[in-house]
Amino acid sequence: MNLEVSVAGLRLKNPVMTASGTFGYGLEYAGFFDLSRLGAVVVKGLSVNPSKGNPPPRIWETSCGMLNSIGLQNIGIPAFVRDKLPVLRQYDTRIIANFFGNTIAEFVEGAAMLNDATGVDALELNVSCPNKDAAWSAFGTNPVVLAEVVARVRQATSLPLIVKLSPNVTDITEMARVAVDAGADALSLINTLTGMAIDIESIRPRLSNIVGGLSGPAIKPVALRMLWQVHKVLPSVPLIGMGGIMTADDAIEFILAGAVAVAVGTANFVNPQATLHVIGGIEQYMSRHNIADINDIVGGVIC
Amino acid sequence: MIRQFSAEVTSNVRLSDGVFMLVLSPMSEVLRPCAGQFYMVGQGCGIPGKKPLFDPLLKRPFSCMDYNDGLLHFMIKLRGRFTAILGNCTPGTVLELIGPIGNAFPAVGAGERLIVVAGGIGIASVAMLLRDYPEATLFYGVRSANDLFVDQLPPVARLHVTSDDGSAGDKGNVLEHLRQYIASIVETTEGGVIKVYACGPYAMTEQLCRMFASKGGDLCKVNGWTVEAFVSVEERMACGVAACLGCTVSTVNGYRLVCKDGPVFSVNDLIPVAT
Repeated sequence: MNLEVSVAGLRLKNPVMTASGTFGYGLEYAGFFDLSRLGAVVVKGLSVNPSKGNPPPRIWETSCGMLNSIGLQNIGIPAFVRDKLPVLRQYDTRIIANFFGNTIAEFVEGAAMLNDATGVDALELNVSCPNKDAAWSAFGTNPVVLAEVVARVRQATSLPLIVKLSPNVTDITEMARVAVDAGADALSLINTLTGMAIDIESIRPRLSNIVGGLSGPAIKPVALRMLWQVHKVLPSVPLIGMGGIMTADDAIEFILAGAVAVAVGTANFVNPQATLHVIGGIEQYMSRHNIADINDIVGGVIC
Repeated sequence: MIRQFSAEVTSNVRLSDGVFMLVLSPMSEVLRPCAGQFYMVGQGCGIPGKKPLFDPLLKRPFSCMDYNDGLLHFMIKLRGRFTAILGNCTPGTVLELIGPIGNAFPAVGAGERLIVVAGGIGIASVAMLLRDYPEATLFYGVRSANDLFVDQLPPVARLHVTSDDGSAGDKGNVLEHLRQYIASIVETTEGGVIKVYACGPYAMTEQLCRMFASKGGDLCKVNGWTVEAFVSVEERMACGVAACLGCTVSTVNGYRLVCKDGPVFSVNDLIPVAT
């Protein structure tokens, strides 16, 4: 049985990775299982300088989902490269660094720093955090700005470049096409949906940031639909599917819709070993259906 | 040892209209919790052969009230949908836990006096201290006699109960009685160190900071006595393992995580936010 897949030239031992922002820098979960079991670890969004994030409260649970407004808190690329990466590298898995900037120049600087770090296997460009201000959101929602940031980052790195798309757009296929035309090797989709919740007793928002990113099983049908749409128009572009994947069944839906790999996000919070259950469940599905190679069912949904 | 485990409900007793005692038997070897540590408790979702439940989705943090004969005791107040589900769990139900989590209360040095302060259900976070330090004094404030659960505690050397309505112990605010008690100690005995370990509603944490913080606290140094106060705080969290970065509190050192840097903080570090 073959679970190995290739994303933008990067070989993964299996198609299961962790979604950025839900798995810390990987090491937080090292006490729960052997990280070498994973196809890849995608780390928390990094920036050139450390960022303290948004004030609390930052979390609110909704029906079958959660809102977060962490605000891209991170230790900064230099501290990640110095303190986390050498430990993370000891695991036999791929390390994908999710990163962002507040300006195009910062995106480029971050990409160059990570490009030069030993042990980073690929970059995931974060243009889609819903907790930044409206001007920043343009990176992920305005096709002209998206094209510029992807093209500039492309020039700054020779590593495989994955662009993580925002679902908070009218037509995600347009954004996907723009990112690929500007130099993206692969696409991750989707990031969280911008959401909101109000405490009707205090008549105030539940999150200090007012709005936050909705994740979890509640968003899975939306994510699946978007991934399928993008796969239809860009069948040769490697897609990493994410958004509410809790079980192997969810992951297989994404693969059938066209994902060559999947990322488990909020499920890590619910169960630190969720990724292992997903990997095991994919293997069981393959043997039940006599599938010799996981690649054989990518995009295999019959519509 | 892995900190994720399944546990079976061995008993679940309603102590009052709004509070229940959930006793769990871990189904694998677990670490011994220290006073002040907590667990993320969730509906079983990683159990082979059982269909996972995703609503409510996240685990919730609960302080360990006691660890005895291999059983974990949680005293829980009914607050919302999740606590209602836990309150209705029958013996044999399997739950999934992560823990023990957090930094625990610091050790009390020889010759130091320990005063434990609980406000309402906050007693669940400090009760284990009473087992570790049988000589401790407990100040236990409740709204009314219905919220008082002294019979669930280990033996207490000196107990001061206060209630808002006067239906149990002295009427009034527990911290006002604590203030008088400390005043009487520092006036009548030779100096030393008093440790105040507390857990209660947010307003109580705020008040403790005002009383005992080394900057601006009026009771932190009196008459040769030093009072060092530590408070267990809570915040919404998704993971309990410092990955989600959801459970931040404001401290003099910037944002800190309740699950990793806390839940116990010195009043010198906390920056209470006006509510």
